[in-house]
Amino acid sequence: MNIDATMVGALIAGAATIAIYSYLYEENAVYRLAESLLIGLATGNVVAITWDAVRRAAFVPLVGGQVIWIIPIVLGMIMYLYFLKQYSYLYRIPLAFLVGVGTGLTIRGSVSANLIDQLVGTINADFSNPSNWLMLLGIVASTLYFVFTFGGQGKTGYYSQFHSRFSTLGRWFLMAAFGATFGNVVQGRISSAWGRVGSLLTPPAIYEVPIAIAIFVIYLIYRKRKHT
Amino acid sequence: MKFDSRWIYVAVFLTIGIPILAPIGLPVLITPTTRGMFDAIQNLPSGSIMYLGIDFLAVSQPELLPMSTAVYKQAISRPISIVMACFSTTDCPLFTQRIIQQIGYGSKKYGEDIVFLGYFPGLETPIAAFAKDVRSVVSVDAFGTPISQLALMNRVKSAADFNLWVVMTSGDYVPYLRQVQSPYHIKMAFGTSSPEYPTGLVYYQSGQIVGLLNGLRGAAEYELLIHSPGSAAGGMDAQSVTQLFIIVAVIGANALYFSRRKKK
Repeated sequence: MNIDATMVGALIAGAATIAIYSYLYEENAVYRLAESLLIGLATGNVVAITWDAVRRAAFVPLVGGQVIWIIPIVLGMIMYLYFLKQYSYLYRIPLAFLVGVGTGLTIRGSVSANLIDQLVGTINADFSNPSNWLMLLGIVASTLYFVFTFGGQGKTGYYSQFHSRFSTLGRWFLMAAFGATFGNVVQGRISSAWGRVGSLLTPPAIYEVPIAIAIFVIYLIYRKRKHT
Repeated sequence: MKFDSRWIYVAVFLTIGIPILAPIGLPVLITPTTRGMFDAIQNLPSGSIMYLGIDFLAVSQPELLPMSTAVYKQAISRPISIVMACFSTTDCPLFTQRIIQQIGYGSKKYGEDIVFLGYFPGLETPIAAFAKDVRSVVSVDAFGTPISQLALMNRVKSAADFNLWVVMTSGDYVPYLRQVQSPYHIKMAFGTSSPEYPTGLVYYQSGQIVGLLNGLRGAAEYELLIHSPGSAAGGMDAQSVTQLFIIVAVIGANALYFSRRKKK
């Protein structure tokens, strides 16, 4: 059997998976070790990749003569003044840039992508397909559910009663949508579990399973003896 | 009697593990959203430029790595150019380079037909800047080569130069719609983790995107479409059996709850 980096990686991943699942019995040192490893490695990865991205995006062009990049670099460094009590107020300047630019960009794109294009898509739907009539009913009813100005329970009048019934229908449509989302969330979680269980049940990680079970049984016997 | 919820973990472990060890071979039907992405790539005219963002977190690897691999395999088999970059997650360079290492560039030559520009932090802002003027964000590729030395990048000035924009993401993909699809009217498709799929359907139905992949199932469908069954297709048995168990558990638990309430 040749031992290569892929095999070592699979063995470490298998051991880490067993360590994390050991939490199902009770919290223990092995679980905490795996948890700390995950946090440490993830943080290290974020720092390294982000630094590389900033280096390539800002420092490389700056060194290449594009002096304009000094502005975002300095603004980025000012963010760290947050940790110096005397000058912490200065971090609000780059933060203002971030909030302003971010909000401006988001609002500009939201109107077209989330509102106008959606309306155009609904208007242009193929209404020879009955399911599109159901979709239209769902859109109107769900939107009416969020109109709080008129209607409401206990109010009389033709419109109020119409609004009340339609918003109830809208609530049902919304609940159906939440149900569909929940189903997909379950599907996603099963996929994650499948990824881990699948890696555990294939070589080389599968050889770790009987070892883990043996260690668990020894631990249980040790604990029972200790308590008796 | 109080039910110990850890038994559900044991049951889920078994419903996932048994089909892995003894596959059933349940059929996988191709959905229109998956077919949409496949057709969009397949029908790209020769010489087209496609953006491919393999942009997901490690936690979504079981779903998004097989689908990204399948899409990449299809893309490199077509007579098109591919520009890869990512804006959402720091895990992206790891997975992009892993896929490249595993599959290679096929008949494509790096720099002329395919490039990987790396990760750009900030999501909305760099996407907008990249779409408007690629050179305002990118000076070197992921390996440190100046983009002036990459022949493909001479053909890419802005988002308008792309014929198709595909993002495989476990996170928020609406920024791509806001900053690329809507202003530049680029054909766009997404591969998503399952929880993000219902939101994406809204954009698929309105015609804003041409394709959408649904987690592990979407990956399995795609593997079948490109005639290269892989890990995702093999995982569909476990997915179906476990989903069935969850449905039975939800119905059973509710029935038990209502019968107990009736007795009280």
